[in-house]
Order: sequence, then C-alpha cells, then structure tokens
Amino acid sequence: MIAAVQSRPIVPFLLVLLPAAFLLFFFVIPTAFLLSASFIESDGVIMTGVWTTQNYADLLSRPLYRQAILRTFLIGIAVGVIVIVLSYPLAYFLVRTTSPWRGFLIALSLSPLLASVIVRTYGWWVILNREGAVNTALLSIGIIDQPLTLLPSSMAITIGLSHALLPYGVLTIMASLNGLNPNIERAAMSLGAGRIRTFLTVTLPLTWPGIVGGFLLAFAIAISAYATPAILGGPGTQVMATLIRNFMVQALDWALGSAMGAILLVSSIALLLITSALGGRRVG
Amino acid sequence: MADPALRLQALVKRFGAHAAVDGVDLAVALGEFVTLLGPSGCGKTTTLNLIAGFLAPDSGFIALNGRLVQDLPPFKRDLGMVFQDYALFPHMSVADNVAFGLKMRGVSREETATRVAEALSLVKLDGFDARRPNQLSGGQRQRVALARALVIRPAMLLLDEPLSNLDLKLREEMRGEISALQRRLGIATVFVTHDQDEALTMSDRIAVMSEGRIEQIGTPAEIYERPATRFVASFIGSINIVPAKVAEVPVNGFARLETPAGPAIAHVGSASSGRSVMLTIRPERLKLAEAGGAPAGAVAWSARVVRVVYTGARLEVQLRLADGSEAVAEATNDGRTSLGEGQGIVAWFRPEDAWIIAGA
Ligand SMILES: Nc1ncnc2c1ncn2[C@@H]1O[C@H](COP(=O)(O)OP(=O)(O)O)[C@@H](O)[C@H]1O
Ligand SMILES: [Mg+2]
Repeated sequence: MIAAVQSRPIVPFLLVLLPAAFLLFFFVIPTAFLLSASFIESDGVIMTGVWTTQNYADLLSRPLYRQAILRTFLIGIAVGVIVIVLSYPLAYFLVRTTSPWRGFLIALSLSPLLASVIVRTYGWWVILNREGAVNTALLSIGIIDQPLTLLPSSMAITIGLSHALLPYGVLTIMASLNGLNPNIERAAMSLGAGRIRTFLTVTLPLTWPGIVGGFLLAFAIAISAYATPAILGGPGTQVMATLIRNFMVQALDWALGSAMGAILLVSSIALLLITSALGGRRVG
Repeated sequence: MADPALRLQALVKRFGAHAAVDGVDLAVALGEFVTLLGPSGCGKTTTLNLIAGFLAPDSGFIALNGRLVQDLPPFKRDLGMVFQDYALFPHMSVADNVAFGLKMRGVSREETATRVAEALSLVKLDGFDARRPNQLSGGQRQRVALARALVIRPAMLLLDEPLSNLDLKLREEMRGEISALQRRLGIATVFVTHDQDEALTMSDRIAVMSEGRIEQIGTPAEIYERPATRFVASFIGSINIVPAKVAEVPVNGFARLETPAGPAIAHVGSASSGRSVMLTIRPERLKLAEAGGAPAGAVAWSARVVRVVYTGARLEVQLRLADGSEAVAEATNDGRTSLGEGQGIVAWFRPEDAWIIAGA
C-alpha cells in the first residue's frame, strides 16, 4: 500500500523527464551557450574568456548590421500582415462554404506546406528573375521595355516568405472562425447590422486571437528564416539569419555571430510578448 | 381586414435532395402567439431561418405585414430573434448587447440608454448592465437575448427553442414570463419547440410539424382534443388508439364502429371517408367501473387490470382489452380506488369523448 502510494508519482515524473531532458540539451544549454558567448571577447573561433559588451557595440554601430536588423523586422512585419490579409478571406470562405469541394480546397490552400522550402523558393526565383515569367509577361504586353530587377530584393524575400507561410495564417484563422458560433453573426444581422458592420463589430473582434496568433507565427518564422532570404536576397539585402551564417561560417567571428543570434532571440521574444499581451485583450 | 403579421405560402427549402421544409402555409395574426411544434429534425429551425432571412427558400412566399420579404436580407426584415443558444455577443457587456440593435438603427445616445434600461427592467435584469455574458446564468442569458430582441421594437418576435437549455424549474417560470411579456407587448410571435407542454400552455395556436410539413394548425384545445392525424394524436399527450371498422353510415356526426375490443360509437372526427379508421381516446377520458357500472349511453368494454402506476395526484391504470391489446386509463387519486392486478373491470367512455381519425 505504502509502496504503491510512493511509486505512483514516478511514472509522470519519467514522462516529463524525457522531453525536459531533450529541451535542456538541445535548447536551454545551446541558448545559454549562445548568450554567454555573445558577452565574451573572441579571436575568430577562439574564445579568450574575457567578458565584454563590445560585440553588441560593434553590431549596433555599423550601419550594415543595423540595417540588416531593421530589414529583418520590417520583412517579418510585412510578411505577418500580408499573410493575415490574404489568409483571412480564404479561411472565411473555407470555413463557411457548403461546397462539396471544401475538403479539396482546404488541402489545396495548405499545399505550400507540402513542397520543400528550396523548391518553393526557386519557384519564385524562376518567376521573378530578369528572364523570368513576370518580366517576360510585362515586356510582351509592352508595359516595360527594359526588364525589371525584381531579384535580389527585400520585396522578393517578402513575397517568397508570405507564400510559404500562408498556410499558417489559414490554419490559425480557420481555427478561430470554426470556434465562432454562426448564430452570433446571424444575431447581429437580425438586429440590423449589414454584412460589413457584422464583420467589423462581431466577426473581427471575436476572431482577433486567431489573427494575432497567425501574425505571430508568420512573423516568428519569417525573421528567423534562412533559406528564402539566401535565395531571393543578395549581398545588399542581408537579414539577421544570413548574417549569422556569414559570421559563423565565413568570417569565423563567433562572438559577433552569437551576439546577432542573441539579438534575434531576445527581440523576437520581446515582440511576441508585447503582441500577445495586445492580442489577449479583446477589441470591441 | 388587416394583413397578418406573417404569412408563409407554399414555402419549400431543400438541402440537397431532402426537403427540410416541404410546402408550409401559415398565417400569424397581429399580436398572435403561434408555436411550431414537432420532433427534432422536422424543419422548425429551418422555417424560422427562412422567416428571418438567414436562408433563402427554394420556392414559396414570405410576407411580413403584407410585404413580400423573401428577397430582403435579414438586416432589413425588422425581426427580433432569440436563438436556442442565445448567441449573445461574448465580447460585449449586457448593456452593449442590448444596445446593439439601436446602435445599428442610429438611435441617439440618450434614447438608447433609456430604452436599454427599460428593456433590461422588462426582463428583470436591472443593474446587470456591466456584466459580460459569461458572468451570467443560463436564465439570465436567456433574458438578455430576449431584451436584445425586443428593444428594437421589431415587427415580430421569433423564438427558437429558447427554454430548452434551462433546467425544469426555470423553464416553467420562463414559460409564464415569456407569455406574459408577449401579451403585454402584443407582439406577433413564432415560438419553436419540441416540448408539447410548452406549446399547450403558451400558445394561441399551435402548428404541429412533421417531416417538413404542417400536419395541423389549431388552438391547443383543438390540437389536443380534435387531432387531425395519427401523428398529431400521438405526438401530443398520451392517447389510446384502437383500429376500427365503420359499421354503419354515420348519423349526426357519430359513427357506429366494430373494434377488436368490442362495438363502439364515436365522434366522426377527422376521418372524412373510408371504412378502416382509428378510434382515439385520451386516458383521462377512459373511465373505470365495476361490471355493469357504466352509465347508460356510454361505450363499455370489458378489461383486465395489468398494472396500476401511482403518480401522486393520479393513478395510471394499464389495462388489457378483450382482444389482448393494451390501453391506459388515468384516474384521479381520490383515495377510494382499490384496483388489484388481474382484476376484471369495465372500461367505458362517452361517444363524444372518442374521436375517429383516418386509418392507416
Ligand atoms: N444547413 C443544412 N444543411 C443540410 N441539412 C440541413 C441543414 N440544416 C438543417 N438540415 C436538415 O434539415 C432538417 C430539418 O432541420 P431543422 O430545421 O434544424 O430541424 P428542427 O429545428 O425541427 O430540429 C434536418 O433533417 C436537418 O438535418
Ligand atoms: Mg431546431
């Protein structure tokens, strides 16, 4: 009896232990290492062991790095906004349609998740490059007489990321629309609210958590994305992720790489906290 | 004559091949309380949604105060609707919920405040203005939904099973309150329920629905005592149904019948023709007596007591008739009845208490 009582907590403890150990070894320790490395003076890949804040001062004092940080966040915000604006109507349609094709249309909307990020991104490269589909089309209609330089650019990165992250927006907004009782919208209409007013006063505020969630997800993935900026961007459109790689692998300056990584981590956590605090409060 | 508040004519709504509403005709007079009564899935909510404009009919007409509205969107129909799940706006206070319809109509701030206070006091929710719907009990939510629908002074009130989510005691209390409120405001109302007691106690008239059609429309007494079909007879209250053959051409509204339980005379009822019919008799109209104790002119059948169920004020006596079929008689518990199981007895009724419906 006593043995049974004593042994009972062991199973849940073991169940928690495994994921906890996983998190500890693959997230907490590397993060701690990254944070501490960012405060240590280094000579290339050799840590000298002297504590310093010089790494941050270096990063923030050089326009190239400052611009990369700013660009990263602007791209993140733009991608978040585009994803929400495009996925809301799509999600609304998918949730409310009675079409027999509904399941197929949902699968189609989520299909970007199935293609590898490299394939998807090269797809955009094919469309946007100097001899690509957009330029060919515009030239043949005669709107332009010189091909446009669409690549590499922040815009191309934003387009590529928005496309890749659209399913996340669709999924989170569909989830919040599914949780919305359609009778609530009907009630608003029966009380005299037209379709737009019903949307603004009832649907939008009640699905706001889904909007914030979709935005955060898209934003968080966009600012840490590496492959898409690497393919659709160039030397003039570095983002934090591509810079970190350069520091770590090309310049072999681990201290600066760690500091940049720390800035990415801390500022995105801060932004997530601020936004979710805003999202938690109901609008209305 | 004034146009009725609502007129439905040959209304049809299909979902795929299935007609959820299959040719409904209904008129609701000004100030009248009409109940759509029927089992779950018979098309009551669909009918209400057609009236409110949330669904478009496949064919037929809907007129509100003489004006055809089937092409108007819901926000132009001027109807107050109470949903089964109340559908309150969870992100708004009680006062904002009630004020919503007035805001949409551009009513001034002062008038809105006055009318919201009036409406909340009408449903006995004074002082609940600042609460959120999730801070209210089921009964209070129901009252907010009612206040929100009434405050816009709609042409008509639509209620979709508003009491079905409340517990029994509250349900009976709200029945009385909704009826009283409806009478006081004199607002034409369509009330939907699957609960026969609600329908019988609250309505001016009841429309009994089955499989997308209205089986019968009438006052509660007509529906209960003069059922038009077997469905209506057995859906409302309990009833004894005995197959019968018409033995003679009916005279003076009464027909002589042959039944397996014995010969009978009964009201011709709703059976317009045919030899095979159903004799129906309510348990409370089926009386019990000692052998030879039935009054003159009554139809008397010999029977045997199977079981006596004690329900307090009443005794439900289960009987076996001469042909072996079962019947139920309900007697008031006067404290002097002694019935033993297996006891032979006479079950009798007056011809005017038995009602004939078409046979099936
Ligand atoms: N949107 C819909 N799509 C398909 N079938 C529906 C829809 N709404 C209702 N039905 C069907 O129509 C019939 C009537 O439904 P309803 O009007 O909700 O019944 P009630 O309110 O009387 O319970 C049911 O068989 C139901 O399954
Ligand atoms: Mg219903």
